[in-house]
Amino acid sequence: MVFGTLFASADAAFAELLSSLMPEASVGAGPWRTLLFALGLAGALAAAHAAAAPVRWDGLTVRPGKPRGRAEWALPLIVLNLLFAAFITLQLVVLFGGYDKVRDVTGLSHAEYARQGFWQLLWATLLTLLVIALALRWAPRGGTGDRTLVRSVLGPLCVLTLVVVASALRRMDLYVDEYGLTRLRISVAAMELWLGVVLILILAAGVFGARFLPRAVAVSAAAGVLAFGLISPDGLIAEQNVQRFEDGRSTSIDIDYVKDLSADAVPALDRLPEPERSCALRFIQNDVLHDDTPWYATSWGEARAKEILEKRPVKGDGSDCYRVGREGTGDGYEPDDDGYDPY
Amino acid sequence: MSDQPSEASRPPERPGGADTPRPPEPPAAAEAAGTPAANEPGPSEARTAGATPADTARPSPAQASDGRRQRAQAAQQAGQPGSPWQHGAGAPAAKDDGMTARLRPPPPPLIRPAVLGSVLATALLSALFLSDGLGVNLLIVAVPASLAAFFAAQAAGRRLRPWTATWAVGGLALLAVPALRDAGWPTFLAVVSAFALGSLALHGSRSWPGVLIGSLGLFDSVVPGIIWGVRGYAHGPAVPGRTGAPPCAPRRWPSYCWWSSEPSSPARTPRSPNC
Repeated sequence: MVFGTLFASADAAFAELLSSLMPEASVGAGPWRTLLFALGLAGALAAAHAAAAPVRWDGLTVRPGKPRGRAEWALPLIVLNLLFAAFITLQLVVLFGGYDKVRDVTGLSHAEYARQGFWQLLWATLLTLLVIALALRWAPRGGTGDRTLVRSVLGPLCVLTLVVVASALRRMDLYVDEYGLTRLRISVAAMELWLGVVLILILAAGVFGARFLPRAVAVSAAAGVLAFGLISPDGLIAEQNVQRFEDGRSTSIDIDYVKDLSADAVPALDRLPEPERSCALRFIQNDVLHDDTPWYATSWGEARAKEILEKRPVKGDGSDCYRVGREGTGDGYEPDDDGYDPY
Repeated sequence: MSDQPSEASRPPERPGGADTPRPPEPPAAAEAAGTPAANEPGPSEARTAGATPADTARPSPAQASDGRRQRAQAAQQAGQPGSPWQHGAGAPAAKDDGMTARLRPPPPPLIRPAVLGSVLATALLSALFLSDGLGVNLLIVAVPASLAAFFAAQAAGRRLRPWTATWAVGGLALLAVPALRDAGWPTFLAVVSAFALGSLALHGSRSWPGVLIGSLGLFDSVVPGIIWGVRGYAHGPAVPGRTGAPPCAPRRWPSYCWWSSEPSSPARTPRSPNC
């Protein structure tokens, strides 16, 4: 502290550096900072106390479910297995060329047929996980014969559900190819992917033992959140939409959607040609260049966006942006649809 | 960090009580009986900062865990049904007592000055840095918070385990997300998950209810933590040689008591009530 002040008074440049590094202490923010101080104190004390004397939550036990008889337990699950198998067989048949029959029956074009149904398959995956959890709770627990029965019924169910997950992801992929990526679509696709990982973990627990299953699921959730953050979803969305625009697959880019993304989208949006670029970056530029957040509260994405926008700022005042990007296929709505858009 | 303090203070029927509701995993029950996992409810949990010194300082967790298992098994055998003092725990009326006794940990030792210092540093840094938004400041505040947890765990005799280190590294990595990305939703998810992982690191749960509630369990430690801190600050930190409320009764202690320059003999009574 003493040396800092001495050096600061000796050299103006150093003083400048120090003042930019230290947070400004304005009196007006007093109550807020006091609250933060109290929160930090309470939080750190709670952490230290829990470190020294943690409550043993493992002691909470759920009463194990009443095991059912073999036939009573296995029959509904076998029916479910057959249902899943029939669904997947139908998918494969269509995939390998039975498409014309499908068109005759349902009236959908190939692309429309291939794209729809993601939400329903997502719900199916969730319900199947619930069914598996309940089935494990009520499973017959007599001996090795019972254990084999449980594994032989639930194992194929997990595998078939994995195929359903793959089918759902493929459908979303085709949909996004046609209509563009949005935050909702990328989030639900990530969710479905994570459910697939949980199914794989359940299968592994069936083979190797269920001791690690709770922690493994927690680890997979945390890893999923980490991956989701690191891939920069806003950046991916902007990238995919710009790519579709550049490839000519869509007539224009949906400026109304893209201008609401965060600063992570700036490097991709920077590649747009001029009228679209300024319209897309207008609001982001206002946020990034005019907010004066200090160095410790600025993320790297924001800093990079600021750098790009300072070099190549937005042109014009945005008055003719209403005409740009209006004919885009926004959120999948096409005027010649019957208006049904599940996403 | 060994389990000796927590094992010794537990009533003898506790392992027997823990055994019955979890038949499929008796060794896990014995281990979970002494499973210290640090929970970190604070603003952030970057225990790796404190974790690496602990790692190098404790070279043989395997031998200690074997010793722990033997002790737990001996305690279990002592608590077999039929032995006279087992009857109290086996009775149905005692089930609730058994449940909360299973959950409640032994009380922590008096707070150390290192812990108090780290807590104060966390509070100062959070007041200074957290007021404008999210970025690198979360990681900056995480460092003293995790040091506070580390010193407290060390004082209580707990040891770093592989899963604890895993949760801590994961929490730290998740705090990098708000430093890198500007988008709102992924940042929010990452911060919440970082809190959950830190909580899991401090509690060390293994079962389904343990993992689910262990992720939220820091809120349970806020009030006891505040009381612990205030009490420790009022008493004066438990440092040998410092005047204040005596943290231990005069007893036979080796030669680091400050008033004597030669190894103290067991019969010698201390002149000042410091040790």
